[in-house]
Amino acid sequence: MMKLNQISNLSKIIDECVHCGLCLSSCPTYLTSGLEAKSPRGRLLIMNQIQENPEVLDKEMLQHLNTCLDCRGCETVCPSGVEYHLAFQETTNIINKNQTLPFLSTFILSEIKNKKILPLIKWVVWISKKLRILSLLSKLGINTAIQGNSIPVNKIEDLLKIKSGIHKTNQISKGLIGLYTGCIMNEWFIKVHKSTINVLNTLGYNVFIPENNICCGALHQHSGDSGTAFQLKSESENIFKNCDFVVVNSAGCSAELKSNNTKIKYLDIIEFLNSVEIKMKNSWNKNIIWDAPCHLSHAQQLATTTTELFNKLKIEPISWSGQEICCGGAGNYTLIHPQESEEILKLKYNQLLKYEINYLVTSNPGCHLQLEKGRQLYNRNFQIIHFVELIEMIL
Amino acid sequence: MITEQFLNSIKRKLSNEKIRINPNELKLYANDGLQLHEAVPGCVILPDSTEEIAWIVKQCIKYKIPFVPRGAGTGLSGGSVISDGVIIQLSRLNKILEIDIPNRCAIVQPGVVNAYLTQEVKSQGYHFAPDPSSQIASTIGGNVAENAGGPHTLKHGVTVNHVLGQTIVLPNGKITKIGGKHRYSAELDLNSLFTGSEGTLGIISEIIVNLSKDPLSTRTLLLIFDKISNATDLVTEILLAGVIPSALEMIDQLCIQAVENHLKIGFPKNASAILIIELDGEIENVNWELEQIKHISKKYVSEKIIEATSEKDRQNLWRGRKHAAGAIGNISPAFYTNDGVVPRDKLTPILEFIQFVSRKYEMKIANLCHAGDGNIHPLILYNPKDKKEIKKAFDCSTEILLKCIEYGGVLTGEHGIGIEKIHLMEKMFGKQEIELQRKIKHGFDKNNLLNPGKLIPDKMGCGELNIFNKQFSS
Ligand SMILES: Cc1cc2nc3c(=O)[nH]c(=O)nc-3n(C[C@H](O)[C@H](O)[C@H](O)COP(=O)(O)OP(=O)(O)OC[C@H]3O[C@@H](n4cnc5c(N)ncnc54)[C@H](O)[C@@H]3O)c2cc1C
Ligand code: SF4
Ligand code: SF4
Repeated sequence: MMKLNQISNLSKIIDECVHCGLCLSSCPTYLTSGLEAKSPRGRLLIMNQIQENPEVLDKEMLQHLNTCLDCRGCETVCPSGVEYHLAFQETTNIINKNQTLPFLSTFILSEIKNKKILPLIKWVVWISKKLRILSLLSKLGINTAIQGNSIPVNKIEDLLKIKSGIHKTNQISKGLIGLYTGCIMNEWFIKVHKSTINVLNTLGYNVFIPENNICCGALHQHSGDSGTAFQLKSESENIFKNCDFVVVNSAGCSAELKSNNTKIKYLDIIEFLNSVEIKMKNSWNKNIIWDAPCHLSHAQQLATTTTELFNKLKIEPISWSGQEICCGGAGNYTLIHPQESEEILKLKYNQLLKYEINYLVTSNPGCHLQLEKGRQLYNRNFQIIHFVELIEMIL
Repeated sequence: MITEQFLNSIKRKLSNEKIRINPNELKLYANDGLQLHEAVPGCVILPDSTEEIAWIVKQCIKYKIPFVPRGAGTGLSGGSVISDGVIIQLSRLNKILEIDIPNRCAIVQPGVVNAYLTQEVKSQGYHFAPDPSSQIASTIGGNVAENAGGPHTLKHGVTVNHVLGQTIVLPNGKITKIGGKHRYSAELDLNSLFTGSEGTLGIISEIIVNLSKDPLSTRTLLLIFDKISNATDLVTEILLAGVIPSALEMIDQLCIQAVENHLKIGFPKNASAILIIELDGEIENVNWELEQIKHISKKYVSEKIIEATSEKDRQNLWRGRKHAAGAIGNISPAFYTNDGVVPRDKLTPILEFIQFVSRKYEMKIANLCHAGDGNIHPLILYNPKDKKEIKKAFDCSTEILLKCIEYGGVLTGEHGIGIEKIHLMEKMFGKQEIELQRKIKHGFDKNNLLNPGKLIPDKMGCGELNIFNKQFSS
């Protein structure tokens, strides 16, 4: 519960902002709107207005605040070390005390918690893909269809859950790693989990897969429901108690899991891969772009670690401007703020489209879905893959 | 004052979304990077073309409403704030229109962020030379308006040296173009007149800027001192020896500590001061300069010179320097800085004077200097919730600036006069010089509606001159 003490300090955080404005150009919503109210500096002032007068909430200003992706791009560049996300969380808590969450948010969050909706979507998407309904509707520009079509379930194997229990390496084991299977990853990205197990086994580790879906509570936390987030996080404490450590292949989840005091050692897959020796069978000669998830570079500050890892693997992703800016995926942002999300995606693709590439690499399901949506909208042929799928190809 | 008629007229042409009038939203525009001065506008309008700017300006004239252009609002002299008037916010004019490598120039809209232009041409071996520490966010329009400088100004010049042409919406709403891709001027040097005019003579809506070739080699050094005067004396000696580093930056102990608290660059926390020196150019030349510096610095430095051994190392040092002012947020809820300039050989005495002012007012002052240019940045720490401290911070700054003038320097090296230093203009300039500047302003802006009360005092000696000062003495 450390965190609750930490974040009860809204005004202290707001005071640390010296109004220098250096964060403006790192904020996706400022870049698309040009509005101070949709910039980190402006939002901190809105938070101040809210804390000074929580009973009278100005709907328009709330809307500006709510369009924040919580991507934390502003924190990376802020010279003053303003912990924007803590201020944002505490303000969201204040707001939620004074008004109810919009229906769509509540619905999505409760469905994720109940763990029913994700498998259902997966099957509906798969069948619609088979019957070519989705690609037809996507071509007509229907947003939900494009979003559905972005879910990477193409073959029947992509739907079938991985066996729980221990997946053994065929070498002398270096240790037992728990794989944090998550909620969305465990239903829609089974393919990535399979690659992860394969990579970890090849590197000489046994991998433990829990029986049920687990959830880090990130989406709940960002919507101001810290209670549910905490409860969800605690559920996994016991599940992994026999593992040496737990590897997380979704940057959003690793960031959230690490933010709590916990007995378990969580490592993002990128951190883990950078810490072990990797013997490559194949060298890499395809053009790739790495689009770092915000929760990796900004929330966990692992940008340098990723660069080191690429150097170690002798892979040189194309250097491009725009990678430190969020793609507009940001959890359920696409569903709640479709228009803003699409404008931000356009910003990203305006840069991406300048390059000829074979693969676009990421390591977070939300980014994966959003980038895939962009790929379809802009009609490109490259493939979007997870970092472990890239490693799998060279191991 | 914004009137109903004005708003109705604007709404007839522009979509509501481009016109911001919610009072809570307008409060967010009450400051730029200068926290000391607050002024809430009556309306913020976001045009997306030169023609739209011109049209808005004409409406402002018709309804006699003062207006001011705003870029990223990182300015440090209160230039882009206005009380009750209209802010013409240029953040949506953010496109790079053309990159012309054969002619070594680019055409940009004013809202393009400085660093984005360099990012865009980096792969071709070019960059945009003006590099204010705010370059990751400040706009090229704002840089031109303030004639921004940066650490590399010493060798590569300030913004005005890199502006080839401009499209300007004049205060009467007419659009005019000056300069061009060529590097010669047939007219009076209007490019220089508008550059640095702080948004008081016209609104820049397009800029043709010079692109510079990346240097063949770069060496970056960190020098450590146990006495500030050793650092400042060395600066003078280096330049006397005929070495022109591309950058020569000084950071003092308090500032080092703020940086290290948060950014952990690896600056020595107990050093009295450090110098970051960068050399660039032909390899042989750079090597010669390096030898000179090593030789001259022997009797000044307290530790061995550290050299950045990789681009990553170099970027890290610069991150420390460029984020140094902002890092003050770590040790104080607010800071106030001016950017006075002294002749280089007066660096040591002015820094001693700053120490004196600090003791006199019992206010902490950290120091950053573009030392090679004699451009100081005393960062005065204060509590924004304490009125007395606000007043003290302002008085400290005034004393320091007056000393700069006494030493034969100027009021501002790069942040501009804005509203912040306007009360000192008459101390700096004689009656005639001010009058001349007023005539120029009047020639362009008869109605005095464009960014009034900034840069050039309206009337000498009258009460209005001290608007800023008045705010705190009440
Ligand atoms: C942390 C920090 C570090 C800084 N470091 C430096 C530095 O090293 N060197 C330096 O020179 N400055 C520095 N500055 C000051 C500031 O960043 C510069 O003055 C910058 O050029 C302002 O750009 P902007 O886009 O933020 O302009 P704004 O602050 O929005 O505006 C500044 C002035 O320019 C006018 N203006 C803006 N756009 C236009 C336009 N298109 N046409 C006409 N007038 C216009 C405005 O009316 C205003 O008077 C620093 C500021 C901060 C906060
Ligand atoms: S960079 Fe940090 S200190 Fe500067 S305005 Fe943004 S949040 Fe505030
Ligand atoms: S978290 Fe992201 S979207 Fe929110 S203010 Fe910061 S940069 Fe902008």
